[in-house]
Amino acid sequence: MTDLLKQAEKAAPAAGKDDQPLRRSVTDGGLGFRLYSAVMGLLGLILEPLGRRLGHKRVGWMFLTPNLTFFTVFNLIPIGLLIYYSFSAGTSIFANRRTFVGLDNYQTIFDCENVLHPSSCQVDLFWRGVWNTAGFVVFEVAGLILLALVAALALNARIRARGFFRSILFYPVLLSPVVVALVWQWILQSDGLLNGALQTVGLPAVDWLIDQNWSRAWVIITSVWSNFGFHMLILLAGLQAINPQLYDAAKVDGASEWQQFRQITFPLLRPSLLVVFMLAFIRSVQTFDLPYILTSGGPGSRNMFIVQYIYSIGFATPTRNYGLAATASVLLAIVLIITSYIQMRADRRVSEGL
Amino acid sequence: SVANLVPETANNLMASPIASTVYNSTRDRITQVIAGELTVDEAVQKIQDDVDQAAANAASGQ
Repeated sequence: MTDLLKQAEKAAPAAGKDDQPLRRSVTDGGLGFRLYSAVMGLLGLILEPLGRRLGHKRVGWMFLTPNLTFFTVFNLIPIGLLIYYSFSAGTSIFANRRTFVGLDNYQTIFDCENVLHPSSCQVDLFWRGVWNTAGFVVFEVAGLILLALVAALALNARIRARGFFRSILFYPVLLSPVVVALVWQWILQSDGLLNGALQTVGLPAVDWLIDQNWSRAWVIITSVWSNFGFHMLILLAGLQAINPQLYDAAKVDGASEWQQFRQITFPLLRPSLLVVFMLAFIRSVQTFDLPYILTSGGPGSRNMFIVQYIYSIGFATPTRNYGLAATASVLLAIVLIITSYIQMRADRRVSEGL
Repeated sequence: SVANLVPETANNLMASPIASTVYNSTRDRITQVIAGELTVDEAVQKIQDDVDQAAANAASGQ
């Protein structure tokens, strides 16, 4: 033991000498570091007495106060007003000039013989919006995840010009939804690019945006096309986090590509897939701009989704029915809260399973 | 009955707070008939319901 201590003492001066250059570089730093130190020192002069007076926890709250104030004014208060509006009637936007009517707005919305048949409902457009949104979400989210997964798997492989293809597939995400909708409208309209191409090869033109089924299909296709790049990146990051030695071991064991995907890739990618699903679901429920610009909600109300209904009933007419619009918004928020809670529970189970 | 409409009615409708609801609802509901979502009778009833709702909303705001 004594021998060891003597050895340590002999090594200590050498360690100290080695430290000298490091200490000098820290204490004798450039102008930037001196400025930084001065600012921190000034902050310390203010915060240390505050910390001693208020306690360190309260100093933390003091730092949070500006952000909390901003959040309260621009988030919590509007949410509270929205909930009050859903229990009120009238055309005024000022809460004190509106008439409290209790659950009248909710009763109006749920006044239906059969919610599955919107024509039997008093507010049929709300229920058409609900079922249109439900149908859109199912196909759009499925298509989004499938396309993003296929693209991520393809771009995770060692292919030529991989960086170029990653950029190309991500570019639609950078475009404004209005731009995407306008471009696709020009392609799909009766005298648009697609019909021109079809007629050139002798095929008849199709009313893509006027036909009930084609219009919905194209809304889904354009939405998936413009958004899948973002989700592809999330899945790509998840794929790159998987240890490649697992695949090497699987190949040694003679596993096929499909077996490797099913037994290695998919289970380890589940957390990323859940994140992608949550983001895609919430965004698709709230979709408004792209289908509104592309179809204006038509033909009829075929592509009118719930957010467009809220916009049309609350803002698009001079007799603005803020009460019904707020009621529809509250119901939409409740659905999103419930689904987000279910998804978070699923996320926790997936994480614990790993 | 359209031929019996007096001009004052049409003029008064233009200034009415529910005029836009009459115009927009007529347009939207007829579009729904064309798209096959509603029958003509259902559309007429829905237009009436929309106008009644707008009138009630305008009255409660006064």
